[in-house]
Amino acid sequence: MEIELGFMWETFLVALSGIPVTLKLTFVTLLISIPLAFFMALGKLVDHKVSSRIIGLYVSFVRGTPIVLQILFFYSLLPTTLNYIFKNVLHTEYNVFAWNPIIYAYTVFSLNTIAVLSEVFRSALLTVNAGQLEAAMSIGETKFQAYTRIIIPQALVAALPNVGNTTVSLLKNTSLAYMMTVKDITALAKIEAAIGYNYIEAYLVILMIYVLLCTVVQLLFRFAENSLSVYKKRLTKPSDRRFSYILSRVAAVSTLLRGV
Amino acid sequence: MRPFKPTFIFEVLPQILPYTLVTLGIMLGTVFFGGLLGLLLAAGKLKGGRILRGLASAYTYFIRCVPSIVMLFIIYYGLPELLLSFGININNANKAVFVITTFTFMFGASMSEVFRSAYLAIDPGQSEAGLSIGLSRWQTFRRIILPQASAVALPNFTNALVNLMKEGTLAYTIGLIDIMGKGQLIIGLNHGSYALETYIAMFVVYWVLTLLIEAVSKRLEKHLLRGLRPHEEAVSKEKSVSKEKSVSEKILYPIYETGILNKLKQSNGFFDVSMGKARSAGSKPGETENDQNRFQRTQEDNSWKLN
Repeated sequence: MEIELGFMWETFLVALSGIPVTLKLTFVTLLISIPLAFFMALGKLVDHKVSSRIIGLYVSFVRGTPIVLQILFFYSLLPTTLNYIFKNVLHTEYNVFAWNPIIYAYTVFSLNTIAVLSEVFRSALLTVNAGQLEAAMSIGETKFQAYTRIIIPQALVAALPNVGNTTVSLLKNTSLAYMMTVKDITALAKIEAAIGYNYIEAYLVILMIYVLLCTVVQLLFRFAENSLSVYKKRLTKPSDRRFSYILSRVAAVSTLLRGV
Repeated sequence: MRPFKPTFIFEVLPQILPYTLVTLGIMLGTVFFGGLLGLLLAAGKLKGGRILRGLASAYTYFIRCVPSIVMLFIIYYGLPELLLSFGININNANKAVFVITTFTFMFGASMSEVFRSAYLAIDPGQSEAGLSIGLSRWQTFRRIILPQASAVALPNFTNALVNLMKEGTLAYTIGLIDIMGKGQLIIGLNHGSYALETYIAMFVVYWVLTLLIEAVSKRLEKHLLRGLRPHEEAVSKEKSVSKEKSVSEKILYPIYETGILNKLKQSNGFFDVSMGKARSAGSKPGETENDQNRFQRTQEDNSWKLN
């Protein structure tokens, strides 16, 4: 077994130009998903039968089916449906097929990430003690103020480790974007490999880049966690310490739950 | 555009269903080998020296960062070459071998964390108690630790298993014919038409499989927790119920709040009205006996506070 180091270096340079696409996919998807997932989490917590049923069904569907299948399904459904709508319903000569396929990638990954993140935010909101809201209301804050100033900041800190995990798995899942003809790291390296059938080297390069990116993302999240959880360090009362201990346990267990 | 044909879903389902066995077989093989690898890694993390612990953690970290599809292709292209340099030819081996090898590496890493957390979740006092009443080490592990640890590990294991099934669909990219592979074949045979219907059929199969796995896991968890004494179970149930209640209270707080406020407002209004009537019937405020009394009382209170 021989590995051509020269080819690996060339592929590495080519694949590096795919990093912006991968990062864009991850970042834009998060940007779309985080607010929507948050509202979905709130929607599920309110004891409204119909809305929480629908959200539950959606989350169960997304988490119960493989993302490859979701990608293939939506990539074959969306362009033709949109084309049909533009041609026959709106009667325009607009060409949907000229769109950058990255739009479909955003759609599918967002649909997936919203479901995962809504569960993350839901459990994070539940970790914030109900007494916090009562305390805020008792000093005369409105419910909106209490949420924006007291509950949500704490919930976001509690959610951060899981958001980090979701980001890592999203980053890994973007490697499937090549199925939607998006030219990300994987696609570029595969194209390079196909010329001389150097697949092993190409995939080793992709692997190295993903480990690199994943490390950077995890370091960023650890930094954010450390700087945002400063408030916990000031806690001195035993009951408060217990609370932060529970928070950290919840974070640790759910980190494990996310698995690999 | 060709119209959507829902009946085709039911035509495809019976063709796909037999291949569930392939998917389940792959999962079974992976769980066996991945479980062994996970045990080794967990043992390394828990009992190993500095080097072993570091290696096991590094392995888990590394695998966590690798997309399954990349790993799958590295194994698929790399393993035969690697073994060929040792004189072993597996170029004609079944595709399932590569799939199981790949997912053993991936699944082993997550299982190591499952085992580790389950082991750490059991209080050391449990094994001490077992040993102190004269059980052997093996008996303590088998009868005391294992039943409790497996109950802790089960939800995490189920999660990993569902993940494995979902990631396992990638096997079609190297040509394995499982649920996904068969679906792709059917689409290919129809020259790309009825793709949506086929995908929906596959969605149904995978979704049902996930729900089944989760249901079985829930039943099994109940079975494993049967050792809890009745009062403990009641306590844990009570806890979960009260927790649930506080949650809904918290979320429904605005509604409670408005309700309480409305009631308060109403009662205040009622009170004011009656007072107003009293005043209008009598004279200016401060002149009625009631008001004077109240004034005195507040003065008394304040003086008491000041002194």
